[in-house]
Amino acid sequence: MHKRVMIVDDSPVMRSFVKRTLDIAGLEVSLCLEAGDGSEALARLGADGVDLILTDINMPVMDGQMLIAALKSDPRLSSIPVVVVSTDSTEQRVGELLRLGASGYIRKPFPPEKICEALCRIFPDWQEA
Amino acid sequence: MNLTQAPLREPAIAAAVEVLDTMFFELPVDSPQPCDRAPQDGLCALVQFAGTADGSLAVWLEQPPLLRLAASFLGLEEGAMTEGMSANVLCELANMICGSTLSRLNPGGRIVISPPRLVALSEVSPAVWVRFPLECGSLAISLTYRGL
Repeated sequence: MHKRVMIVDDSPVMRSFVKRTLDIAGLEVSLCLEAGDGSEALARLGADGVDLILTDINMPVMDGQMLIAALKSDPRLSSIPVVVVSTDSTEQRVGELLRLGASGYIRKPFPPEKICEALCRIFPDWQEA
Repeated sequence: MNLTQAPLREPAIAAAVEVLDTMFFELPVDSPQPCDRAPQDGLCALVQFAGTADGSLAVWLEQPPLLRLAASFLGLEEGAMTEGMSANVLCELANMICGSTLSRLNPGGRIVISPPRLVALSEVSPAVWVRFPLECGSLAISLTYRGL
């Protein structure tokens, strides 16, 4: 089953790494959109629908927390699962993001199986046989 | 506090080894060693943080391992790497080591990590480094930390 994914991170090399990790983990992606911050992500989502958003927290212009709040307050976008991928893994921050509506949290650094485990919890039939 | 203090040095070393192993598929070939001499060449990235603790973490990497680690991170051949790509990977490496170190030192805290940036070594002072021997060169980290 292929998914349409958006990766939001201000680091282009981190976006490449996450994209490659999805591939290594055997998670098939039919469309992979990229955005450098939350506002760019929202602008792109207006034109293209996705099944999943993977976002960093610390980004310029609009950070990941503001992005999740904006997504969850928009009826057209609120059902898209958002998984946070970040180095910021303090208990307080993780709790805040989950309460805000994030569907999962992956702490960097992570091995491919970690991303697979987190995403297959949301989409149990995603991984290739 | 800096890396001369074991309560700071040990979590920082564990964080660096975890990041190298998990994201770059590389482990040090020998035990990390403190050193007080500044590295002589290569590139240095600095990450500053503030909140329930503040300070900064610098990561310095010699050119041969920088190319090797960047290529490994991106799944590309070393010959395909540009200076910009290597620099971005070094910044991301510093960001991850910093985040991983802080989550060990201050798990219940609230700390904002600033975007990593490339710096001259003279900006990292006073510097106490821990050097990690890698297969084709060295990586070194320096940390200053003030728990509030």
